[in-house]
Amino acid sequence: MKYKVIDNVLDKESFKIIQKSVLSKNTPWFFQESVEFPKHHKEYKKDMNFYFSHLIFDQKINSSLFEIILPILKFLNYKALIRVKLNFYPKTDKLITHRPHKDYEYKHKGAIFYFNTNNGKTILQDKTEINSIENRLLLFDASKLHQSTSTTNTKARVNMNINYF
Amino acid sequence: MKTIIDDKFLSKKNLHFIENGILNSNFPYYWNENQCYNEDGSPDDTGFLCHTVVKRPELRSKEEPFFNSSLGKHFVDILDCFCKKNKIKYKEILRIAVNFTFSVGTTKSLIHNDHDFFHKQLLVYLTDNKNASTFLLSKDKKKVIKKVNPKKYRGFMFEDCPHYMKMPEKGKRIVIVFTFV
Repeated sequence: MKYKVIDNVLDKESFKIIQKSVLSKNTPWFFQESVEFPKHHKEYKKDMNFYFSHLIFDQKINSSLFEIILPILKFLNYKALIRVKLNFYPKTDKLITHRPHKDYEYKHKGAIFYFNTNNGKTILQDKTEINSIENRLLLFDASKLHQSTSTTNTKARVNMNINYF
Repeated sequence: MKTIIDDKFLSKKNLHFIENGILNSNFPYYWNENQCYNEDGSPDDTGFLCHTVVKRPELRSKEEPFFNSSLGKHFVDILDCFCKKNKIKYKEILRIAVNFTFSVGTTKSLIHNDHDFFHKQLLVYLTDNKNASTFLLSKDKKKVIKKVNPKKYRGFMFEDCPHYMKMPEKGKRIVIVFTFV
């Protein structure tokens, strides 16, 4: 599967409503120790690789935000959802590129929706870099290696990771 | 002004709760775009994650439960352990929160008092941070009268006093904040 980038996925007003909900004081964020760095890795020890997540769907609906983000899911033409997860990467002093990973080993599709514009990126297996631009949707093969990064120019990098068939 | 630093006040039960109830991936934090407000009412440019255990009195209605978190009693146990060991008495808890800060580009928080009336404040640091210190200031806010570095499990109590914190340059800073009278 070749990747595809869709900009301005939602109309401005709809996007702002969803962005506001996701970044509101009502969204619980759960601390995750490291983005793809094992405990012995030098980057893990620097305490700069933690992030926060919010699981919206994992085989079943896990969050009231599911209803809110439905307009984004409609662009995917999915047969079945595997997982929908929000990621909140805090600002770091230098841009950290996380280790290559596959979301799941088995064949499936992936999408990333970007909630804010920043200098963070998604790096695909062929080294194509997709910039974090708000209201952008990236469609790609998440069973192939890819990488995420932190941000250095906003307080946080917030996106939504979707795995589906 | 009375200050107390106590690095060994937490009970085994407190430590177990901190490690398994707070410092794990099941403890929810909520994003706040700012920590304090400038004198003109405009928000500062910080941003942090917070778990509010007890809301400020002015934000808490009589109809809602005292605790804003199902873990409330564990936090009160921590306060009680500190107070018992250090012979502090309190009548009322005003506010409890867990603040999670990281480098957002600003170097320090605004100088502030947590309430505009006399109160005591206990900070329980849950991370070691060499540089993200807490600074207490004189009443006229011109002179630093005490600087305390975050050390994991350290309790630092002070009485109503203008203060600010340096933001961590790297990594995370987690602190439980109690205010009480």
